[in-house]
Amino acid sequence: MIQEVQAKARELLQEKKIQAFLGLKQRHGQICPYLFQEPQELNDLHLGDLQQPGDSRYPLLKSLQAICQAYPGQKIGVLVRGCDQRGLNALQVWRQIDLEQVVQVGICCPQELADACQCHKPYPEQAVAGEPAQPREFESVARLEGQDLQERFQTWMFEFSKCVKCYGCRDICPMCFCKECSLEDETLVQTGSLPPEIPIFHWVRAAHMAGRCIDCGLCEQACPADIPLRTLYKKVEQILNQEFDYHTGSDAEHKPPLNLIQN
Amino acid sequence: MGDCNYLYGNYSAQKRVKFLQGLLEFSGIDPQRLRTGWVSSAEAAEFAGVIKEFVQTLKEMGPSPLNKRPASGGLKRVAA
Repeated sequence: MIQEVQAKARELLQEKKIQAFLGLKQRHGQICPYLFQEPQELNDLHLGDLQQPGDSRYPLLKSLQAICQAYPGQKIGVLVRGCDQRGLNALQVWRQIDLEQVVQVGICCPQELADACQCHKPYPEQAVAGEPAQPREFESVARLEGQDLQERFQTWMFEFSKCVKCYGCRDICPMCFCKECSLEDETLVQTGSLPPEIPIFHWVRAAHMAGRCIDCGLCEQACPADIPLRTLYKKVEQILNQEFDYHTGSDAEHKPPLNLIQN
Repeated sequence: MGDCNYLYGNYSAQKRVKFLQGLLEFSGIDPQRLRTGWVSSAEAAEFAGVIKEFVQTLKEMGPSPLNKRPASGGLKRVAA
């Protein structure tokens, strides 16, 4: 799979269709995001699978936003999986990235990774490598909905009570681009104290994920307290699906219903 | 609906309340604890009626679980 990606990125760089390619690189046994500017550098490209598929992930879209803003007019290539593509679409909708500036080099996630992520679309629209894996259902929302109100309340309060307010979920989130964050606004949540005010701290973030969360799962992977954040944001997306027929990141045009000032 | 002083204001409110009710219910809070109603500032009697009814509903439901939550050590893991 990696040879196809290297070949495609090399071709784009050589033909000057892009000025740089954003991907992952292995260096001294570690994986890190890297902006490849010379074709020969691509020999060190890595897909982020160190011991098992997808165990070394980075929010590449976060770096991409910074690069695109710093170098307007330059074309940047980027490695995209299904989740990254949803993110790019959503970032275009939110006017945080101009897709004209981005050349996507797509890969399909292997079935093993799609299963591990329980991903509902483990492939981008166009891929240079890999075959689309079978989508998987995310089961924990339905499992929680099987509980009664009181049980669910206990479950969430237990989970939220583990929070150490590290802001890891926000900091790793490719869709958290606000300059002023509501989680640091003392009119919404208590600031400067630990533990955080629950459940409001997590509800504020959940509400802000409406029309943004592209279900990449990085927040849950980053959380040191293992709070099932993806389950919460998955429900947020499900409400948008059911009540407003909106699917975040499925295209780059439609604005999220809660941010449209009309009926 | 549509008569809002802020044009689409009540439509926006309605969407957000619908969303929040879903979030509350999933978090284990009865969604009926959040309600919207459409009353003009000239309709005092209707406003009082809506609030009275809401207060009645809340009284029947009793205190919110958020008001009687045990210390964090007393919570047990119910599901992952």
